[in-house]
Amino acid sequence: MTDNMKKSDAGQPAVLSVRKRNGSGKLKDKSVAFTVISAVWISLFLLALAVPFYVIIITSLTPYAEIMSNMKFIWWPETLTGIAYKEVFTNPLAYTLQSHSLKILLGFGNTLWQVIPTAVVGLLVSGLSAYAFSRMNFWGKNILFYVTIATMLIPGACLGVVGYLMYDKIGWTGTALPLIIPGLFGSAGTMFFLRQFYTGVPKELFEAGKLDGMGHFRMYIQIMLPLTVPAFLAQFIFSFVNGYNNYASPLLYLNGIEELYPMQLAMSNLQKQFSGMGSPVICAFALIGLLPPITIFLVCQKFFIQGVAVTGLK
Amino acid sequence: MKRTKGLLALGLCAAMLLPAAACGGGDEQGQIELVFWTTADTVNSAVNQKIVNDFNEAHKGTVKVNYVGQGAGYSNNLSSTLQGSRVPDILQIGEKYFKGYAFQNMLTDLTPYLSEEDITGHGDFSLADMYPSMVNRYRLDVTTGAGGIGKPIMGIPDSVATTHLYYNKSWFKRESINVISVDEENCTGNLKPHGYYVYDTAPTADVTLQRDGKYHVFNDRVPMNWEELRTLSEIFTKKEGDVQKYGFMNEWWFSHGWSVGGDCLEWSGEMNDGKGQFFFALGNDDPGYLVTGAEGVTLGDRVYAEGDVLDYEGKQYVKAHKTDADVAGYLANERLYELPSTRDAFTEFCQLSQGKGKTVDGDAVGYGISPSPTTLSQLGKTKYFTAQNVAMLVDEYNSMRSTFFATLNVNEVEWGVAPLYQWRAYDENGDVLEKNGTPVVGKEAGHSLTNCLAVPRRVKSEKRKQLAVEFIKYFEGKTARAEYVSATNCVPIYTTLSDVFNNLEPITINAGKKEIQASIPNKDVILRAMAYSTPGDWSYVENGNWIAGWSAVLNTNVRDGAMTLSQFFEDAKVLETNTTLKGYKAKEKYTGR
Amino acid sequence: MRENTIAALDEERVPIEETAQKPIKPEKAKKRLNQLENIQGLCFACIPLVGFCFFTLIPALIAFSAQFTTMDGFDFTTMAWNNFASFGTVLSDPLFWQSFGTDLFFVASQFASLVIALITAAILAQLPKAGRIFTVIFFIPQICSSVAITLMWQNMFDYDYGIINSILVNLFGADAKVNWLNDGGAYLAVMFFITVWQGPGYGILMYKAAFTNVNESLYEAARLDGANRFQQLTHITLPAISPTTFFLVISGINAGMQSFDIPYILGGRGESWTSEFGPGNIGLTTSIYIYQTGIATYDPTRGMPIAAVMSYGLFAVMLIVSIVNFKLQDKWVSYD
Repeated sequence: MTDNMKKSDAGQPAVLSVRKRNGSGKLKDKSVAFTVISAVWISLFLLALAVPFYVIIITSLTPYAEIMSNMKFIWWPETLTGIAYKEVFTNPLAYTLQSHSLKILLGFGNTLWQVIPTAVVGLLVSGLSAYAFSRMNFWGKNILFYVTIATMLIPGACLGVVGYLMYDKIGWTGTALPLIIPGLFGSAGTMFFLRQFYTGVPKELFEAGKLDGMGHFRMYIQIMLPLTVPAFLAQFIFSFVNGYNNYASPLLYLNGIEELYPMQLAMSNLQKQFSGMGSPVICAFALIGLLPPITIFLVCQKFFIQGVAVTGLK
Repeated sequence: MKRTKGLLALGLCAAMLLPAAACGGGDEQGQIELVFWTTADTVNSAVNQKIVNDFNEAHKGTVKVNYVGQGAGYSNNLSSTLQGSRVPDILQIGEKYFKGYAFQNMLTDLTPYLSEEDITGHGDFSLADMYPSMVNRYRLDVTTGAGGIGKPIMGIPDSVATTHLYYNKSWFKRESINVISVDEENCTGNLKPHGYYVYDTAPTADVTLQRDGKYHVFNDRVPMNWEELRTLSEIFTKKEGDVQKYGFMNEWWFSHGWSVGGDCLEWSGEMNDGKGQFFFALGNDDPGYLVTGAEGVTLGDRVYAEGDVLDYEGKQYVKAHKTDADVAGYLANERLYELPSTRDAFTEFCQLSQGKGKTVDGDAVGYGISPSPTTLSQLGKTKYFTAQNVAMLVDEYNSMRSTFFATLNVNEVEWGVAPLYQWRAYDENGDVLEKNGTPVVGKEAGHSLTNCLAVPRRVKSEKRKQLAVEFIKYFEGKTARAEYVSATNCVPIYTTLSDVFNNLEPITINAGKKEIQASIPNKDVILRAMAYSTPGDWSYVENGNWIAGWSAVLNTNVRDGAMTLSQFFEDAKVLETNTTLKGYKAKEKYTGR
Repeated sequence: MRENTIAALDEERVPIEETAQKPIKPEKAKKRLNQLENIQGLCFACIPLVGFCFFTLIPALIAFSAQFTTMDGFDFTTMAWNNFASFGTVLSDPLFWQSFGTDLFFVASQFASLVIALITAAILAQLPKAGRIFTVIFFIPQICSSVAITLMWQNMFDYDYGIINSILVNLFGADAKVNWLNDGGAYLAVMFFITVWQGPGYGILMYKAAFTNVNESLYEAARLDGANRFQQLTHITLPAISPTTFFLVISGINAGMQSFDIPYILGGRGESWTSEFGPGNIGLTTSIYIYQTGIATYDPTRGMPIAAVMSYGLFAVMLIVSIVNFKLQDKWVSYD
């Protein structure tokens, strides 16, 4: 995290300059050896990437009886069947007991409501804090700032499991509250990153706002936010993908309440429950579970990749 | 206006924390809501829900049970919920975890909540009508560590999965092995009471297949003995193309060890500075004994009846009093007929999967008739059978329901269920050897894996506990269990519900384009297994920590052939097992054998 | 997108001058405004800190005291002083130290994927058009969830029907089969493969940006001085990308030391009765051990107090990494 600061200090978003510099010097002295090595390297990399996907796609399309009557990997089944995908939506196991909703859909829905409010509110709140630190004057500003920054150094994630003690006491375990509420307060890291960004916004904008009689809250909403939409979106997509892929926290707090399971828990649960049904259905579930983030990524990839390079977020 | 906005942020913070305060206890007036946690899968969730609904309907206004079916990770969730502040009122607990929770004082002793009628009577809920092995494995005195018959009832049996020998009938036929189905008492005349036997002439009219001029007959009503299992398995063990096929597979050694009175944990009164403790007994080479003769034997203050196989205490008594007149007499006239030791049984088990000719221990070498259990996942195990790579498999009842119908039947492979093998001795005529008028047959032995329903200690009030037991009695009552068996094709926990099991409708399997009808084979054998099967070694003590050390050595060095069993029993990690065992509170294992 | 922002900033400047001519408010109002700003600013600014106090600090303090006590389940109001007994238990627990070793193994895996990222990025930086497409493609594993990835690889590493053993048998015969999931060494390899497979996308992205950011004139100067390609690499390229390396190394340590998802799912989620993660618990990371001890298996003699001690052990290590990161980045990192 602290490294983000430095990168932002340098002020120059790294990726921006990429294309401008390409095409100069380096390209010309590419040797044959280099071309061959890079071609081999990249092909190997692509192969390593493609094989696992091939395996789960082909397995999901192989009939269960054929899988179970064979002790080898089936490169290409005798008949291709979509029955595993039908099972995903029709098998009684794929539905929850209480609300009889399709687990995978419910999981997706749960992910949305457990992740999005936190991502959005957390960002806005971090932004508000960043705004206060960069644009407002108040008592103890410096001290508060250093204290907030100091919290970034504390590896709080290590204490997640033992934090359960508190959540159990206040009755939040077995609910989604521990997954949602803490995030609503924003984070020091995001605040810091946004503050760097805000410092670069011209002061005149706010002078004008003041003269207009705008309060700070309004200036934040009406002036600052619109300027920083791309940064916000990059952060938001990241929060979403991370939230979507989050496995450990829901596992810790949801206490097996299936109706609250987000996508990853639902998937891992289904995998276990369908283990008797063999790999086709499990692979089908995995593929379906992978679709949303990969789609979002491919659609927003340009944006996404720039976001990573600029923010250094993971 | 602006000030309010400023304060709004503070207010917001406060509001976020409100839910923290808003958690209260349950209301004890009017209808009480109970929470019931259980594992749920495709077959049981609907019927569980229905039984709960029926109960709620019948108890409208007083109690309502909320059914929470859990999927994967149930054991972990159970642990966190039992420690936490929101404890469910009724819990399903697997027998592997039961003792752990019970000894940690997490469960309620249910005995005071049950009436005499519940325990000894024969009403709708009746412990007396359940299989004793199921009831007794949940009886436990958590203060003394003693368990079994007569002890406090800490859980009520819920569901069960027995183990059986599954065999591939089509493959048997391909290898020209005749399959017959004749009960042992009807094996008369030319037909010998064997699980597998080779005849020179056809013993009955329906035995027609010849193999090298002889008649090989497999009887799926009579247990095989070790030797028959071995020789039969060798027929199937061969390479077909580049695929190695095997005759047999079993990941549990119970049918070997228990059958001759062996076990992997035994109680020693001397160890642990005279306090006594369980110790790792797989290497025990004291011979086992079968009690023959109608009058039985008396060893010290213990009486053993005809046909009993001596347990560890009995064996130790014989060992210590070999020179005493009475014991010496028993041994001399074979009223104590010598059986293999625990170690012999374990060696035999290890020989099955060790590569052919590789040393297991001393001059015992591998038979190479079984794939190594270490290569297997659960799916892999059933897959060996469904892929027809192994001709006989010992597996739990549920594999049949969940897998075999949907694969073997769909692929038109015939298969069946046979009894687990046991120790059996025969005379030169091929009849069961008799000593002092008693057939020389070891115990019928196999494990069943069960679940129970229990009430956590931390349930908030007595009233709730009473209602919880009320619900359990309904849920585990005969009416509800009959419904459960019909809906799930599971084995009943009541001895009195055998008819419901025997009259189960055929199962319909959706095989893509066509629908197939199939029914559970050899139901008698399955019900008999219900009667003799006992808990596995996982329910002897509180948890499985004692397993890790020695199983790692067994599964690598011994299976690889890098270590003989003698070296294994001397290995430091294996010896450490006894140190781990020292820490357990459980002092008595219920074996029911 | 980023370029748009900056363009947008330029456009925004125009209306400012128009609005700048509004009348100025009187002095009194300004003072009141200052007071309001004080309160407002404080409220706005401290929200993340408030969140930190409630959801990190308080639980951390409870857990801190749990180290020195025993308690009934999770009920920390029943805490009773236990004379540092938990510390002895943890420090003498070989499994705890072994789990630390597994963490370090994951850190090493992260570093390996970093090396792959470095090489790949070096190649991609030379390919202006294709490089971008490949960067996107190579980023895909990073987007996939650990659940799905572990599941994929579990399938591939199966002893009998996994693709990897099938390939090995085709190439080297039946004896070449590896018992991936049940053999200690092979199990480590499996965890390594999965981590490395998932890992490089992020590093590639960061390195690629760093490579293309190296000042071209430095190379030209070096060439004039007669530096060969290797010297260029060691004297210009590597120092120039050192901030990125530093950042990625720290991220790698962070991710590796706190590995949970992949070893947890690969190890069967602790649902086996012996709850072993891999043969001989080789896949047990500290994070998993903490979770298992505190939550997933209950033993009144261990439970949360032991988990708290282990958590604070991990905490101390991570805190040191974090502080070293903070202190050292100025010293050995050269910012262009």
